[in-house]
Amino acid sequence: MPIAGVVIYTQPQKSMEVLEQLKQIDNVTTYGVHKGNNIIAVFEGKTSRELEQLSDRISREVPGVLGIFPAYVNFELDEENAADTESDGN
Amino acid sequence: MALKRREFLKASAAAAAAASIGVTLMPGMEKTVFADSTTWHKSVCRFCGTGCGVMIGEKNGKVVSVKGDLENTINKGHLCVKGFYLHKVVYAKTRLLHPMIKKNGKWERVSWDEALDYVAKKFNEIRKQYGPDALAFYGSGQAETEETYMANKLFKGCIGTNNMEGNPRLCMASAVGGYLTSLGKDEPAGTYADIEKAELFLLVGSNTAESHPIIFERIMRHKNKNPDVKIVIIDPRKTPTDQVADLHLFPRPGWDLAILHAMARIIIKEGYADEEFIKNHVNFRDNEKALTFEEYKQFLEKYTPEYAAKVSGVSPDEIVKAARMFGQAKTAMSMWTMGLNQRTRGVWANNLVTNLHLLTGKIGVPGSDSFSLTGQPNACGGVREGGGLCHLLPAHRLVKNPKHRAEVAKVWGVPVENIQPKPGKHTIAMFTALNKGEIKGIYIMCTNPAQSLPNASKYWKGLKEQFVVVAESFFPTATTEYADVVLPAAFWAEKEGVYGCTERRSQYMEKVIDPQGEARWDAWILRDLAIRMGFKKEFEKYKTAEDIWNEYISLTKGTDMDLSGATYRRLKKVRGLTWPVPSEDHPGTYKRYTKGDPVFDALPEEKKKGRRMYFYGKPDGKAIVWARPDKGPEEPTDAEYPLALSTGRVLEHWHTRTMTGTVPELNRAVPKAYVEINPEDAKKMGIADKDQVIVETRRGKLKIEARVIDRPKPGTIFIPWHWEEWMANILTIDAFDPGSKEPEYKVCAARLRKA
Repeated sequence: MPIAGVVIYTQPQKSMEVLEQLKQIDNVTTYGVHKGNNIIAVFEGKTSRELEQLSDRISREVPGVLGIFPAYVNFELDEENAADTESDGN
Repeated sequence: MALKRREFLKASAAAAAAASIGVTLMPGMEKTVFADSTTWHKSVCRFCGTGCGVMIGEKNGKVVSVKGDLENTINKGHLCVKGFYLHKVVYAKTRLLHPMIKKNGKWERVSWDEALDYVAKKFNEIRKQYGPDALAFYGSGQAETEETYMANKLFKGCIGTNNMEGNPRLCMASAVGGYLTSLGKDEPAGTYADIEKAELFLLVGSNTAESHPIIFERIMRHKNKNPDVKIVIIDPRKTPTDQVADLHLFPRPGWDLAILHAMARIIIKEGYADEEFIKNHVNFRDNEKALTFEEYKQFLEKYTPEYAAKVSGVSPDEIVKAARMFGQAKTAMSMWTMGLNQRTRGVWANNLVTNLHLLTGKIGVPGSDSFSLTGQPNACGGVREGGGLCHLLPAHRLVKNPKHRAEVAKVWGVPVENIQPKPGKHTIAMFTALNKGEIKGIYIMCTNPAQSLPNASKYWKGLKEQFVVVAESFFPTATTEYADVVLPAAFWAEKEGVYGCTERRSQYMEKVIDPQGEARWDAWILRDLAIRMGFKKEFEKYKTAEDIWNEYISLTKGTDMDLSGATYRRLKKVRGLTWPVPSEDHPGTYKRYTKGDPVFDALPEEKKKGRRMYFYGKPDGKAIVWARPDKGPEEPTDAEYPLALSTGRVLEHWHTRTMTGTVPELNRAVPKAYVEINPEDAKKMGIADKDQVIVETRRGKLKIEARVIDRPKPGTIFIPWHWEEWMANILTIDAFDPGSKEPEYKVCAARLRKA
């Protein structure tokens, strides 16, 4: 269950639209728009992969997102680490 | 219980993200939220050269979390997407855990004693039979300064060969050559602090958004806050950096020198030059002789916008527009990376960017600088500053300078005769000599040349035939395939040491956990090897990492890169120091060559009179504006090979994937290499997206998936170079810049057909 606290930086004037779209996405909890065009959000997933997929999906699919910057990432309950079930993907 | 923990971690994550932009989400709760059993340790990100501060969370002897270091002035609490995976690399299944020797073609686990005795015996035999120059060291801009320092002393000072190189030769050497020839000393005059003061950014050959995301974030935030800030890009390829660009010039790969000259011409003709600055701070030269300003202007007459347009493929109007934007901005910051450096005229390209700053006086003042971005986390610190190249000694010293050799030999405690006066073999020459059998033994530390060298397959012969020792954290790699001995090296978080990043900032990293398996710190592996080779007196004195650092910074005292005030005691507390930092009460230096730089401040008043800058690496303190010819690439396109091939990075991977390849998520995000083809070219060739195609150059061919996309301009193709399975470097050319010896990875001629 890795969890990441991120700052989602948006184009000016687009922050509220982005915030509303983020609210519709599973495993994303938002904490409002701050200091102009910064959205505070927490990403959750069963694995780090899911965090990355969330980040990638938001960057690609939500218009107005300029960048997603993790500030805190906790992996202590990462199921992938615990179960050690995944191959290295090569 | 799990739910409670999860809610707690969510609150921690939200609070940390909020804190990174100076917002308090839960007033009065911060202390509670972070009153966890996690212990936080100060470190630096292991990936690119930005130097982001990372706090590593450790619990019960394991790395369990990371956060951006709020106190770090570079990233101010933020990380890029690679932060999701930093911990996974530490615990990768491909970590090398034990020393191994290849016996009868098979790897056999051995003890450290057996491995190091074997290497010491082989190296001593080679040295005795063939001389010291039959041995070589090949290091890395990812190694810590202390590690490179130990290798430097062992090979140059004790074994007695200058055959010591590092992979920064492949990425930063042209920037070094550019700074030395233009300004007189290596590394930038300014720092990242200029970003928030700049009115214009000129990004040349740099996909900043993907390769340096935190620097890109700072540029984006600055521009959004100040809409008049402009961004001009010169790059053959459209990248995510374009999302904030005001103007993008798309030159044919390798043909941009004429554009930079044309910009200089327009700047002078339209009155944007700072005549007063030029008069007091600048000399002019071509490749043979000194020029007057008038002669330089004559030289530029050839570079009309129309001429530059014809050479580069960019429209004359856009060249004029870029020049005017640069000229009109009160302050300007240029940034570049491999697109300029990895060229057979990389030094010249660097010179021509710096010319624009010298002509307009946009240097040495807040918001203005000619600023090379670094690719690796310690290319500047360990290799450029530490002297880890074949012509260098620590602290910007040169092997050819007898005074420098004497100073270093004294501190190393070795006879001065041990240090040869002639530079050793640069990287391409070194691996050529390995092929020829002139070098018979090589120690490779923290790098993967079998994949990262240009025209890579040409150099596998030498790796296969000679005695190869690889000290690595990961196994297997393309290079360990050819090794005779592999030595497991401690990785990030498992060792302490110092990284020096792009902006002259040296930062201390704590050891957080014990190394995996039997891995050891590279500096101690080298110490142990040196003692077994017979250099006990020279190496047994180092008991701690701090011992090594202290000796190194003693060598910097009184130099242009004085680090003698950057002691471990101090570095453990602060978020790095930008040299020169000559004493423990010195705050570090923001701008070089001007007031506030201790080297400038110490100059006699008569030298500084009438000058706001004094380029003290030049005899008269004047920087040089260079009139260089506008030479194109070594291998231009032709009828037989009509496409220009360029290589580079993607956000999700880094270098040869020895680290990022261990992270399943990153592999799945970008699972394989591809070749980008412009839709116009694809249509002509009948190629559809995801078709298998053959890309061929004069050196090799590669079967690879096509990605039809409008990122490369027509006539050019692009392949990310990270994969061993789709090794782009069997295609690239190993021609190199005659000055910097840096190879031309960024452009060669290719052809492409459907598989």
